[in-house]
Amino acid sequence: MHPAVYKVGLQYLSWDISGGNARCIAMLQAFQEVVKDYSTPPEKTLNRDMTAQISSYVSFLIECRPLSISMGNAIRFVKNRIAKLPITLSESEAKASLHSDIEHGDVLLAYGSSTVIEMVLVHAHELRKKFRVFVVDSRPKLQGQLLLRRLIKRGINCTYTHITAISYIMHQVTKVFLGASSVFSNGTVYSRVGTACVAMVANAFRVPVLVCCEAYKFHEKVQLDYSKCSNELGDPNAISKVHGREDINYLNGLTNNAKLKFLNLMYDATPSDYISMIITDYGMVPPTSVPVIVREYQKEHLLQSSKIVI
Amino acid sequence: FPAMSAAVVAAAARSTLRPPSLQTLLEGTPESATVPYTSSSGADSESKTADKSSLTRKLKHDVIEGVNQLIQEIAGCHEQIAEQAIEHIHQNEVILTLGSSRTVLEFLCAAKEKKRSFRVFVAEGAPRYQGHLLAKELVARGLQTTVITDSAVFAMISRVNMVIIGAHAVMANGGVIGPVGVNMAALAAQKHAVPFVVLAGSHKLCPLYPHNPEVLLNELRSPSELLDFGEFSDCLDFGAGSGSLQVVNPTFDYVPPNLVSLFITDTGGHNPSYMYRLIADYYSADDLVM
Repeated sequence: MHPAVYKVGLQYLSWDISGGNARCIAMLQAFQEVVKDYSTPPEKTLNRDMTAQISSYVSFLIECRPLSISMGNAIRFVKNRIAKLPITLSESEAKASLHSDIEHGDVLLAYGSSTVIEMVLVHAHELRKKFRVFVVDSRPKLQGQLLLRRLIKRGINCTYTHITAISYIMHQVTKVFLGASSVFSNGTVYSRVGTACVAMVANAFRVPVLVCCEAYKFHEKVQLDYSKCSNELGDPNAISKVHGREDINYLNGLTNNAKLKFLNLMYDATPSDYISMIITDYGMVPPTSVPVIVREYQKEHLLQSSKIVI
Repeated sequence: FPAMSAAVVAAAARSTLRPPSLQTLLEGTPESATVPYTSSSGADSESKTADKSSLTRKLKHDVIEGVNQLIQEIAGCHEQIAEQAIEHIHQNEVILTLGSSRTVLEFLCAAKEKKRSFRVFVAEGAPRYQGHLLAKELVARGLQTTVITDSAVFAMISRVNMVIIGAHAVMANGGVIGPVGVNMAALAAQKHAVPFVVLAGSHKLCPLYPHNPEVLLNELRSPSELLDFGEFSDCLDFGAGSGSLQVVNPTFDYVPPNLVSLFITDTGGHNPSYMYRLIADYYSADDLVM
């Protein structure tokens, strides 16, 4: 077991690293270390042996925390291009197509903590556009506070609220920005639990919903169910205990009761009719164009990898 | 004063059909100039001391009786609503609820007592976490309960047979003021064609029409429930060009009448479009400020 992979696995386990992009980057960087330190054992070919090694590391990471779909795609990509390990984030392309979306005087809503959304908002702020952001947060991770902190430090005016209050604030919002863990081929957006609620309420108030998602997160899978299918369960104790609020202790002593259960879903799926537009590094597309991009993406990488073989 | 006497006559006519309003009670005693809520008729007349005191006593008696009746109604409404539980909750159902309402608790326990077995999903209702309270009560009464986060309401709604909530107030158009987060649940329930049932005692009926309910009929609570005071002080440095931070923590949510499937009150089950009639029953027209 390579120490870099072991370290990343432990970071996943303790939720030190969370978020699709961060996890993917950490994993790919660990694989970079693996490749650097790798030496082909005698009587084995590099391709097969390294692929086998990578697969064993991947099973270890799965034990620590189930893979996100973006990681699954990245691993398949890595296996296809064992010789090189590029990190596929075309930040500058994404930013360039995004800055035209935020207009002067807009009131935006951002849910949870997404690195892409943060980049978009900071970039727009640097272009001297005046806008306000509502940061919506949810239990139990309360990751919105991380985004809030970073936005305030950059000088963006923010209002912080919990997801239960979105009906109260939605009539003031002009656009909703959401991040995604993955987008499926039927246009369903798979993202942090609560995203579907935000998109639904935005739709009810006729507010456009924009999903910012890199193309490498697209997947040819299709999914109809919004909860039980390929979801991840978090720690049930995170629900019964409220971090920072010791006065909320109604459920102390009941955690072992057979009649009481806790359900801590990590992800949910947002139906495509709630999404107005998906913003990717290939440009701005409607949710129905996702299978087209998946196909083009796969073709492009097949082409590139075939060039290397020759 | 022809207009006033016409009003008095009309009020007398109405009072034969409905319980007397405070105004009619007082208009019937024009001599008692010492009564503080004298009606605007202001009829001048001489008052005999003996008459005045007996009239005052009768008035006090009537008002006290009216208030006692109201107290009894409020105390008894839970039972009358809970009696209807057996008609709506069936075997092996899954119920979703939000917040912590005693009416909902009694409703669900009544169904359990009639040997219906069902499970309850309770959304925790942050930042007050009333859902935790309700879950504790339900478990104590032996109901199978699962606590979920508010963000998971849309994800779980497809697995739920019915959403039941208690109302804080029911408006004249059939809209509901409920704990924060119910509008989200109502929209999700509509999307999946899940019945959205509101339990409300008749004392919750309100004759006001909600013109801007999010703002006018709401209450904003302390931001300390969402963020600790000291947590963000390090990045809020106004001199160095940091942004401003506001925190919004409303207590109530408004649900428009088209999202409500059924109201269950102590007088039975009703459509949202019928609620204005119930309000007319319980409020005399004179007492409504138009």
